[in-house]
Amino acid sequence: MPFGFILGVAIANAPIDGIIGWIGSWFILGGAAQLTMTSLLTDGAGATAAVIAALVVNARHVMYSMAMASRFQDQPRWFRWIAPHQLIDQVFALSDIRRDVSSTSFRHYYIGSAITMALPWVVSVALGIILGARIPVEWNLEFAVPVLFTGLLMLGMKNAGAALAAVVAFAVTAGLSTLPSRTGLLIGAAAGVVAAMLVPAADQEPAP
Amino acid sequence: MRGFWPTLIVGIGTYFSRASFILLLANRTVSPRFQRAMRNVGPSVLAALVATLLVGESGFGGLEPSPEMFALAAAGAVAWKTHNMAWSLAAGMVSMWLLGAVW
Repeated sequence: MPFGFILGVAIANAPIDGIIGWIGSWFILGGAAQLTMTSLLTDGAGATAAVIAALVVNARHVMYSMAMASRFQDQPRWFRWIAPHQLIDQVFALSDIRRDVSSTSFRHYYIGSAITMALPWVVSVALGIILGARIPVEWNLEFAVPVLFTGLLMLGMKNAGAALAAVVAFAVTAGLSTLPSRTGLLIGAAAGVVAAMLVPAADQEPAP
Repeated sequence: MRGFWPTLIVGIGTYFSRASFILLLANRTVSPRFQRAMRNVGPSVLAALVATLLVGESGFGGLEPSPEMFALAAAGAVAWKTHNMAWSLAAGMVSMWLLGAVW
């Protein structure tokens, strides 16, 4: 899992203790959010701006939660409390296609998917943290962070609204990048969301 | 204990963004307008992140052609074409190394 490794390297170079970053990878279990926070703290952002940006990156999880809510209604209470922690992109994708099985098999399938996805993740983060400090600076491995964000961005380019949102957010953020503590990022992201509201709803149906 | 508080808050916030409907709002429906806005949050924040990491603090002046900019374009194009993050990562890093060597 190269993403986990890159996160580990980013943690090794960030003003974050390695052990905190690694426990965080279990606790947060969200690469985009943790990488956002980590890279912005390294980049000199204020802690508040870094935390808000990381939380906003998670907005898609609200969509997952909405999509899965009905499937969880007949699950036991303990599972409804524990399962959201592991509702990462891959677990959502895997369990969303197995909604029609019985309540118990769905639960076992979900737990199996979660463990299969989470273990390699935390191992690769640990490797990145340990090896991160030993990788030669000339390799410029830090650059993998914006590369990953660019890749994630392009995977989400599913319609005209998303494209307009991204272009506006990019331009406004770049223009406001002289503001202190990286607050321009939050304003730019908000501008992107608002701009996309101007595109007719018919052009923004979720891709099949 | 550097990074403890930001990590804790992001962890709690991430949990509740995933738990929101499963635990708390199971019987609520939300307007299509709200759903549309939520869908565009991801692309907006990711684009804003790329802009921040690319230009630093130099405003539009940071948008001059550079190996980094072309490398990000290559990574984006490969992700768009292949839907494969590993290929995208490889394209971005190799482009940056090659262009950086000849720039």
